[in-house]
Amino acid sequence: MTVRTITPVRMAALVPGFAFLALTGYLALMAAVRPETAPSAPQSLASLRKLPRGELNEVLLSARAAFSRDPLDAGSVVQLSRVIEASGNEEAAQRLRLIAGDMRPRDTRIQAEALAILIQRRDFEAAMTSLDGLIRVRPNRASTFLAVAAEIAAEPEGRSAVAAKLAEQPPWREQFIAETIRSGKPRLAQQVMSDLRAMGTVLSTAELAHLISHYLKAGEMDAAYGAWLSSLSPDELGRVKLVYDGGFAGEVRGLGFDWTIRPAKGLSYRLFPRNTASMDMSLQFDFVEVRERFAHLSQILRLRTGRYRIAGEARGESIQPITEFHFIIHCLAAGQRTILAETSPLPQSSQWIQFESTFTVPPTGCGDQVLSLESRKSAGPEKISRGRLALDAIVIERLTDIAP
Amino acid sequence: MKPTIRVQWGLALILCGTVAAPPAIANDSAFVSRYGGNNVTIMRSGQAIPVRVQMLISAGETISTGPESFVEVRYLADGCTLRVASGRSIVVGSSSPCAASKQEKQTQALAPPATPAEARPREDVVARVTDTSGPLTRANFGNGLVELPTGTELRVGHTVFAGQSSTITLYYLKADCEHTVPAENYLAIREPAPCQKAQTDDNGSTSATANKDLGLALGATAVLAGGGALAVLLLTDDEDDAESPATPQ
Repeated sequence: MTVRTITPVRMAALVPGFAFLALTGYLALMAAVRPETAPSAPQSLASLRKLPRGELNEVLLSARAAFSRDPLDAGSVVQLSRVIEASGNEEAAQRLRLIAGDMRPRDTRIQAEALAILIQRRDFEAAMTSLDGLIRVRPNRASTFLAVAAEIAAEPEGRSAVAAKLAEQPPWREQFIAETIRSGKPRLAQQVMSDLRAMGTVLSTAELAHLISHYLKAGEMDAAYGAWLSSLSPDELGRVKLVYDGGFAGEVRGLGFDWTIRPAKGLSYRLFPRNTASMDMSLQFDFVEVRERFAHLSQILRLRTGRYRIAGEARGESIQPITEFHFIIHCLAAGQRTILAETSPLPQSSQWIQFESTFTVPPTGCGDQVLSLESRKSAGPEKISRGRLALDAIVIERLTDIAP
Repeated sequence: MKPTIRVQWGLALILCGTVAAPPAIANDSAFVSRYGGNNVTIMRSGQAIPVRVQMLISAGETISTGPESFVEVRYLADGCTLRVASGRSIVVGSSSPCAASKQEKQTQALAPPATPAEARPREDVVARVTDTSGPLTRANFGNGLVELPTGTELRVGHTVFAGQSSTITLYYLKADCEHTVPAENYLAIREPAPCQKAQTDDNGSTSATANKDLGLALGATAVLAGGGALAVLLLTDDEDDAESPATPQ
């Protein structure tokens, strides 16, 4: 037996052979795991329409052959659909495009073509399914897709399809509401939200906040108030008085017309039983090195012209340095606040102590008001090192006008 | 006070002939002569009270009828009778609507909403609730939200709210027009009215133009929606054609 040694010269001759083998092996493997792509990119419909009849027939035969070779290749399906459409059979072409859409849920172009067909056919439910898929696989393009969803929602039939999809709680629901409002269609967003509620869907506070804060910023107080009222349950509607939820029975939602607490470093709050033997809740603020003037609790009021009484109960514990808190009623007109009235400083005692004050809403320039709990400005640095302030039973009553 | 009552009582008997009217006080101008169904109410002191036969009605009070109900109101002054069909409401005026034409002392069907000649509201009343539907119809008269019954008179500064699956129909007296507050909407009562008197064309059609506009709008929207989808198509880069994993936000 002879043993051949591999000389460096022979080795050099074998290297290209190994390289060729590796390359062909890789290509074969790739072909096995990946579907073969179409021989050429689909031609545009416009260019196909320019072809003479004979050439178009040849392209049609070629497209059919490509499709027969690999019916699972969406590219060949699209090419065949275009050739068929150029031949004049639009319905068959649309069917093929919808099939291609099913085959390539992530392909934006194919999906968009399918979407256009679905919208044209007014099959909004399927269109929303297609859009849902697109938004999920291409979240970086969500804004574009959400704009299409908003356009679909602009039609009554489309709106119910959009609402039905949103009722499934897709992760982009809040974004849809926000973007629809941002694009200048708050009423449309509101209608969709109304549809959702009619379906039994509970809207999140964040979703409601988008709509209400938009109306508030736009100065559309009635629309904002209507949107807020719509968010209340029948029981909660029954509690809408001149100040909402003065007994702090519900959560602090921060929607403007209910209690709104602006966060601050060192400031925390909680709804806490008024005493150990009661489930009557109160609002309790805890201060730990709060380095700004306190004006963080507010609620928008809608009082008519007239005399009113504001009352409530407060309890303060170890507030250092001693700080005077009082409720201020601001007039809100054209986005500007002017002070209308303020209560005396709230009593600070470890016991619940009642406070009350009266004020008058003038006939002009004070159509809406803001009730705000604020600390009195002092000459020194604004800081509350520590302490606790609790509030309960805040009420505003209209006083009978006294005859002159 | 008593002599006045007797005078009016006597006058009613004379003018009405066969119908006996109940004793009236000075401000009463009519009484309920007949009613049918279970849903006939009169707004009195802010409350809807069921009517009964011979109930006296003061000028300015509102009578409303629900479904499958009717009421006949007879004026004390001349015996003139108004028939209010189901689902309607009227404000009773201080003088009889028949006074101008005494020959027409017959039962009248009153089409909604009552025209100003028939319904004489108090001067500061801007609108009247002619219909409500759904479970959540509320009003705020200055002290928070309360239930809103049909027939309620609304003044400037009052507000109404139609909650989920509810609507409120208002009749604006001066503008002589109806306005519907759709579900989940809030309306502050102001002047001028948010509606205009319906214009009737030769064919009696009042909303043909509006419907045409709506049709066009819907058509335009459909085109727009299609256009939106195509815009996605046009904006799409070639690189998107290939399947690729989603880009995390």
